[in-house]
Amino acid sequence: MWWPIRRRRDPRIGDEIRFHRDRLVEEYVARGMDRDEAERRAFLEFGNAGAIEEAVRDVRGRRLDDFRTDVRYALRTLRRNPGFAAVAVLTLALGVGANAAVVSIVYGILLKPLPVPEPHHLVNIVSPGPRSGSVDCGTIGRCEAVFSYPMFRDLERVQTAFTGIAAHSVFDVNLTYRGEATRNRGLLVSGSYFPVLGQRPALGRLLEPEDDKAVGASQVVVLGHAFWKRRFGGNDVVGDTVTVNGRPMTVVGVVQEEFEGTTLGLKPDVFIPITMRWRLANDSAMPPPDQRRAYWLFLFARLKPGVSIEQARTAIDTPYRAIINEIEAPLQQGMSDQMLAQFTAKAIRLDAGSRGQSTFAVEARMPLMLLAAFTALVLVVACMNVANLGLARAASRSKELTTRLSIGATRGRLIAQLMTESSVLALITAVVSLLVAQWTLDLFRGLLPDPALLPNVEAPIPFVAGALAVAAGLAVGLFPALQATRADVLSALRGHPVAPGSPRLSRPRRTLATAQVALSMVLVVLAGLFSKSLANVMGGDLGLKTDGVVMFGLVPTRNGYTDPRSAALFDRVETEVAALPGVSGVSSSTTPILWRQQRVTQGFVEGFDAGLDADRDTQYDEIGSGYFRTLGIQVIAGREFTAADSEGAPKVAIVNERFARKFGLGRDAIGKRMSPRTPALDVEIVGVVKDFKQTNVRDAVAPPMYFVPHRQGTRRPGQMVFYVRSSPDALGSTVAGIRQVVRGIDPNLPIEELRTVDETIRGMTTGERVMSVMTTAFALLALVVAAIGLYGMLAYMVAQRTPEIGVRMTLGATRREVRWMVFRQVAAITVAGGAIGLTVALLVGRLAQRILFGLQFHDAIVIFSSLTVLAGVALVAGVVPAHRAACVDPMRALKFD
Amino acid sequence: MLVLKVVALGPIHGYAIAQRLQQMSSSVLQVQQGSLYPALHRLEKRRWLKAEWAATDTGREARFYTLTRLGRQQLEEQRESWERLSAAISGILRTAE
Repeated sequence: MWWPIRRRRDPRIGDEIRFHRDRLVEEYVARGMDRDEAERRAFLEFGNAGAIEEAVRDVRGRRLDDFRTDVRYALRTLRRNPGFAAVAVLTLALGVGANAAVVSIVYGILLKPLPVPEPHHLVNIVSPGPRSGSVDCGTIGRCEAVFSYPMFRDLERVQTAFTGIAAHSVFDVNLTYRGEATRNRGLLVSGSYFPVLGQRPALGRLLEPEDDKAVGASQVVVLGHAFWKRRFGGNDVVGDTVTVNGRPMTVVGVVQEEFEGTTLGLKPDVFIPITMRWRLANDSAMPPPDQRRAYWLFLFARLKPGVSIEQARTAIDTPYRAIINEIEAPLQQGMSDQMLAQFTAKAIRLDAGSRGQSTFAVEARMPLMLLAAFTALVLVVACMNVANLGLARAASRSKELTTRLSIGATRGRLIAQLMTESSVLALITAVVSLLVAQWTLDLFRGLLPDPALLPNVEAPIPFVAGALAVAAGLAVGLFPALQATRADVLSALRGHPVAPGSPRLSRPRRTLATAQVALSMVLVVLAGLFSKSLANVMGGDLGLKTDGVVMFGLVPTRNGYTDPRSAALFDRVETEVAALPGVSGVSSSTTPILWRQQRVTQGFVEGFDAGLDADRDTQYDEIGSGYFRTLGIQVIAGREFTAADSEGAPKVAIVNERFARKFGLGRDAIGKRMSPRTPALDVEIVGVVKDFKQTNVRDAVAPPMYFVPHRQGTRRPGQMVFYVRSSPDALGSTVAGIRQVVRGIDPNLPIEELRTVDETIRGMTTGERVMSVMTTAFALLALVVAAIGLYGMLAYMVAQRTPEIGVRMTLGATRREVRWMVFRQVAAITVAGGAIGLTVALLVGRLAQRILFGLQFHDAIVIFSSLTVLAGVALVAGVVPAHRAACVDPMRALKFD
Repeated sequence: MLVLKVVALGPIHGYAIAQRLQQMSSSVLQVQQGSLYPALHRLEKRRWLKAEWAATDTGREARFYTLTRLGRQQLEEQRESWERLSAAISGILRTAE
């Protein structure tokens, strides 16, 4: 399409000028001159046709024309030198792509505001200070941010600075729709939640202040958009009934697609009115709505227009302190005076809430910033490498460039042309980098236990990639272009374009190579630190044999089971799963292992009397028979629980080594008596087990712990975690079998978190895994790039110094000495780069200390192995150029010039 | 201005303009004919001239220039200002005598 247009626009200046000249010639011929003479006269009279054509082009404005020529020329030179083009594009694309992905991840997790109108008017309400009673926190925010339900209502009543205060709390539910039961992420929200956010429904209506007027009043739910698409096929289900925790609820609406709740990584499937909590929980132990000492709600609010955060804080703090002092302080029992003083001094703090509330974002901030810095370094190394290549190429083209300068091209014109080449490279880079960005993102997603943790971050990638590619391409092109076009015309015409190996081109190249080595060293050391940290987390002895063990949970109380009915269900599940083929052991406990959950109580032990104020804290768990055998935990003395340790039988307990040490049991623990909470001493210790990590793989030492059979607990548990050991290759069929068993017993009962213990551990170590894998991948990348850069520089140096080497060899230098000459260069660069890199790495490592597990940032092994790797890579990069230098034939080298 | 004046006579190509200029100025103005072209294209760019390719009487293609309305105005203005200037100059010369 553009071809004919271009033809029409082409002024055909050459034709016009030729026409004129030809007519002149014709005229002279007509006057009787011979042809040669006529042409000579025509030339004299007309002037230099080429120069005039150029002058006309100047008049017509040549930018676009030139640009087109430059682009064509750039493509041609790149095609003529595909090696350079490929290396440059690949190196840059790796750097740009990785950065585009990481920048987008950082933006998505740390910076992106909630997709609501005027998100910067949102504030999170927190109040640091003691809370005694029951505190439920951690999933959404810190414990200093939870409030009681009555306090929420009070604040809502007295506040004047906000358009409203919203409350929310995570509340996972069993949801049945058309006969299929699933465990779903629920969010209890106040009626003000959606109005404060300014959300509109995608379908039907959202929850409104009318929906939380009284407990159990409004049996309605709003669906999350993704969940609605997934589970309800995106159909109009407004008015349909779903069963939530055994109770029918009506679907009234669906939220907008881009709204994924106010907590990162926690996409609610259903939004439920907060007042339904006491109907849906099926938990007799749940504190009633008016309990002021049950803290479980997270609050945020929207500032009224024109009200500053500080004004709002003062406006809400005064009534808050009045409530704390006059109503709540008298309710605090058993609080020391000191603690009470802290309690009554609690104040409201308002945090910026434009990104919602999320512990994940807080925890991820430091690692992500490090990762971003890390990736940026990779790009810098890549840029340096390409700049280095560019310099080499500029040097080899200096003859061409100086010739063009000498016949009248301006420096600006040459730079423009070289920059056009860079731009063409940048464009190709941008396209290739999109692929790299996708790989990086996939790599990152794959490391997360749940891909949903990473919000949708793809959108900004093309822009970031494009901008970075252009910036990198131009930066990388400009330096060599400036250097190369400073050519000395005279020496060029003498046949020495730029004096070979002249400091002007070789010094920046050496500096660039050194800097690359230094940066790669930084990356290698950091990657080493993170990898060792991961190895420490993973390699620590858990005290468990986890291979081939699957775990899953059942929470029948959510479906309205009574405790005895739950107990019967648990027994049946255990028996039927044990009968599955390939299963060699089944057991259960009320607290999932390695789930960061712990239950702490006071322990009383026969013969342990360390005074009234003694630390008697101990963790405990209620477990089934065969627990230690199934999980591969060593029983040191005595026995483990059997089916005989049931309700009516004598009360028994098993303790771990640390418990035995803490409570002075020594070697003869078996037969001693103990009791939890009160000094009744009515439980006999029948076994001692080796310490194992029950709560967290990062625990340095196992906490003191005792175990009792859950059949002998004071109250039969309403939820249970099961552990199933089977041969590792039968895992798939075991998992399928478990599903079948539970569905056979109660199809409305969803299975929670069915996965191997190893998967659970992996999920727990996501942070370490992400840092280790990403930094190692990037460090390797940087190392390869730096090695290429180093190699390129050395090869070029050898080529430039070939005559000199020839002279040296004629004068008696041995091949070894020549080889050593090259390696001396390598050594100088490596030592300088390595030293600088190590210093920077230690400075950065110091910042990262907080997320390193079980090692110091100046870990000797990491530093030593990094240095070894670096030296090895430098040697490899130097071998070929050194060999080539040593193979120089003095005769040919001397004749060469 | 001279070029505009020549072109004002009708569609004409570069060679003919050069010839005409030489004739009209009775060879007083001797310039390299080639330097005509940057001038022509400058005028075209200012939209005082327009140009198109057409066959000459010999059958060969040449680029013919015509004056645009803007060009005609310019020509008028320039001629007026030139006449004013030359009248002023000759006036000065006369009184000085």
